[in-house]
Amino acid sequence: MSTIDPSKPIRMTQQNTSSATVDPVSDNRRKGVRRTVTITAAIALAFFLVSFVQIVLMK
Amino acid sequence: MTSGVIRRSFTAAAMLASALFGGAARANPTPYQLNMERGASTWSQVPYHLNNISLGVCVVIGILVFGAMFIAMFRFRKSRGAVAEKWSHNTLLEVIWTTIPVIILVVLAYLATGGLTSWADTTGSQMTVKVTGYQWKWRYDYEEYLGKPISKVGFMSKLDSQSDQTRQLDSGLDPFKVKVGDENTYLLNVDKPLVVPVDTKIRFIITGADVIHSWWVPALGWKLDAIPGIVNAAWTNIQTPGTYRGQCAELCGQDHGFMPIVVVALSKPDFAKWLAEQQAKSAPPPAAPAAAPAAASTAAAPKTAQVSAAPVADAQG
Amino acid sequence: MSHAATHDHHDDHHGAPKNFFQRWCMSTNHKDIGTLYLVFALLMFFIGGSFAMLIRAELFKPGLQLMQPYFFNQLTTMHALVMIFGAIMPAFVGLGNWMIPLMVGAPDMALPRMNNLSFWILPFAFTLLLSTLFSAGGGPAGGWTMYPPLSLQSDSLAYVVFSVHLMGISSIMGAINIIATILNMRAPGMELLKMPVFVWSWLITAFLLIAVMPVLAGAVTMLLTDKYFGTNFFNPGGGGDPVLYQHIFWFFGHPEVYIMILPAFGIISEIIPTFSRKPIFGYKAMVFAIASIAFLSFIVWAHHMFAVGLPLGAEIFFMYATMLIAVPTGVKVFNWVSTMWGGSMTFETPMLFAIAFVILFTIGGFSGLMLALVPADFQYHDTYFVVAHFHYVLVTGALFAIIAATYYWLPKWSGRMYSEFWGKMHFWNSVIWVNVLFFPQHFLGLAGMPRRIPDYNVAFANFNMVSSIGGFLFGASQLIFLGVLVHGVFFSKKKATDRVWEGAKGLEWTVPSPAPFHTFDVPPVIHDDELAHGHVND
Repeated sequence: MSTIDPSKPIRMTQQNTSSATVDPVSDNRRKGVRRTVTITAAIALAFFLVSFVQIVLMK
Repeated sequence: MTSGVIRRSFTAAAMLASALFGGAARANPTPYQLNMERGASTWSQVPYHLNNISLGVCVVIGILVFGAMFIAMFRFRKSRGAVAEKWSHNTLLEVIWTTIPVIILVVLAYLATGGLTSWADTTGSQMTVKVTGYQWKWRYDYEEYLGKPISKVGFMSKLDSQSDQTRQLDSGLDPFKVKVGDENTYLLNVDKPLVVPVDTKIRFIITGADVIHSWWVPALGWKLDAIPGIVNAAWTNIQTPGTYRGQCAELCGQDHGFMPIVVVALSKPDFAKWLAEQQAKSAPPPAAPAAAPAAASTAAAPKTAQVSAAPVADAQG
Repeated sequence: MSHAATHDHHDDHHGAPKNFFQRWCMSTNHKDIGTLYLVFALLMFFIGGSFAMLIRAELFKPGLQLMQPYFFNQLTTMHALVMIFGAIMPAFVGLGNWMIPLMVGAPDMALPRMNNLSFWILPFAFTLLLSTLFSAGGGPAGGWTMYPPLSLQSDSLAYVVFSVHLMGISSIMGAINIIATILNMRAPGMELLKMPVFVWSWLITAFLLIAVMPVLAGAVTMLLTDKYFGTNFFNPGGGGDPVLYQHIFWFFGHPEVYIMILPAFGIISEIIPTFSRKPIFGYKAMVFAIASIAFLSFIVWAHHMFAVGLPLGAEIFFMYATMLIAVPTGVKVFNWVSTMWGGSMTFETPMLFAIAFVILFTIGGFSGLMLALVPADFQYHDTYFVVAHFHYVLVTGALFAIIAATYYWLPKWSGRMYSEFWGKMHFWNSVIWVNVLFFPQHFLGLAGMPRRIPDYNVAFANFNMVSSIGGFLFGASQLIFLGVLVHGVFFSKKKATDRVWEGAKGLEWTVPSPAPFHTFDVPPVIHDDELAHGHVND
């Protein structure tokens, strides 16, 4: 399930407010985070819009 | 001041005893009151019984669960040499404590559904009163009684002046001295109460004029929101003549706490007399037509007593 | 980019940046941001608590002594907004920030920079909200639910709406971050069904957050346009419907209730096994119970609206759905008791608060069941019975869990043991006075005292005085908490061991105390024996 590859133990680095890290470990994880964020943000936006659609439906 | 508090707490202790053990049906709040009241209408015993039954169920479950917890805390202490066991699963137990709550809930749901259905049935009413919530007073309009439309009987009902003076910030007046007879009516009295007959299925149609209010007289057993743009309906059938007090139950602005409701339930002849007086007051100068409906209502009273018996029996069954 | 890499490398070896501004305002470290959240929540807890003290002072006896009714309404509104959005929710996000990466073996949150932003929005949101108290028209006074048309009468509506938007954005970002962390950053071997229950509870809570915070944002946006841009969403004069607002608000509001209690369930499910020295009973059942409560929370919203005059069918549906929640909640309580049964228990402060949680939260659950019965709710609704109910659930529920978590993990955060004696003093004072404070409110509600009123009939005087005395002493007891925290963070001489508690299991106890600035730079090799749920097959 985890997207970290245990066979390549490479140190993680801390990113800071002015720069993102280039993640040396795993492209998988980066992709995974990106996908999760896209999906969850889409859910949030959908619920926001649906709250307005309700009004139309109930009229 | 101190002696007053002490004296009051003595009276209160006596009242506590009566609140705990007194069986008389009271309708208005009393000091140290611990439980809901039975109320004064045919339906008001539904929430009262549901309250008592569900409280009883909760107390029994609570004793079992908390009892088990305290036994565990006593028996399985490390300081008594308890050694932790390894198990973390027991299918039988888990099935039992999932199904038993379901059974209890089904029983409660059955009882509640019956009561709710009888509450929602406003058909067959013998009187209609329109209630309108204003910031911060109520308006009552008598629409219909025993099948006859009533026009021009309606009035505003707001906090009585004694409570109003006492409740001002730093008024220096003692709320304990606001009384009608023996009863303290601080913030629970109005200048002009709603007058209704007993043994009559009264339909209330409730709405709001500005913001949302909620019309609540505990002795009638329910509250219902008064919402601008929406007309809600509910009914009551008061059994005992008396004065029943309530308050606005939905935050409606700065004087939300100061718009009480008083319902005075009269016997049917008394009510007919009262209604005739009101109609006479609002009627145009020739007084003759006003007397006629009054006489008619009085005459109709005995007949309605029989009619009203049916919904009473319904609600009790 | 090469510069960035060097800089990070630099940080790695030297721990926290030295400069105060850089460390706290520009932090991307989950531990520092977690600390910020927790400190912010504590500050808001005392601000919201001071509002509560003023409310209880005015209600001490009948008659108005201290304030005008309108100011009283502002206090009740602000007390709720500050406690819900400022104290309880940020405290849980802070605990999640601190502990989730440590519990799943991740080096940090998945989105550290967004983490910084989601915290730093909050102080601005609350400055804006609290500033309305000093404005000419006063703060919001229409209740935290902001029901129109009443809320539209307030001059400070725009401020409140904007600050609610900010809090919502902050919560949504925090929730996305937590989901991304849990789903993608777990160490190899940390399978989903080996995660601590706290992590599970936060994963589910985060989904609730991203589903409902946008709905709240939508609802308050409509309030704003109704007041300032001439729309008629909720204005009956223009064909709108005030009840529609309540439907939208409670579609947010009920899951919100569970947002404030599910992480608490997670915390209690960590603490009870630790001090019982016995694995949690029915791990999977606990996880499924949380998930089913979360699901049910979406279909029960109208039980907050039984008195608005819903159609009979709707009232029956929402009554049944609400009653159904008692089943998974009951399972959780029974499982906690079974975890204790056959254990080897000790009663340190976190355990005391956890036990108080189980008992008092259950009492709040009981009154919740009573409230679910529609005919009975016609009497309870909008009375002090409801006030007692939700304070049992939120104060002795959510807040006690947060306090328990603080005592439980504080040694791991600071590296010092707090004072057990003063911790227990705090516990006994809190648990006694909180009951003196809230238990009589059940009686007040049953006797017919509506909520949100500044003054009352003398029949309610006795229990209100008792309640106020309990309130003042409960408030004062929290000053002990503050003292224990300051002592436990800065002054205590007793160093914490790495494991801290004898029965503690899980990855967070394998790192040193205090937890170093960076942990799990290298994904840990997980031994199932170290995990609380490493060998779960039930």
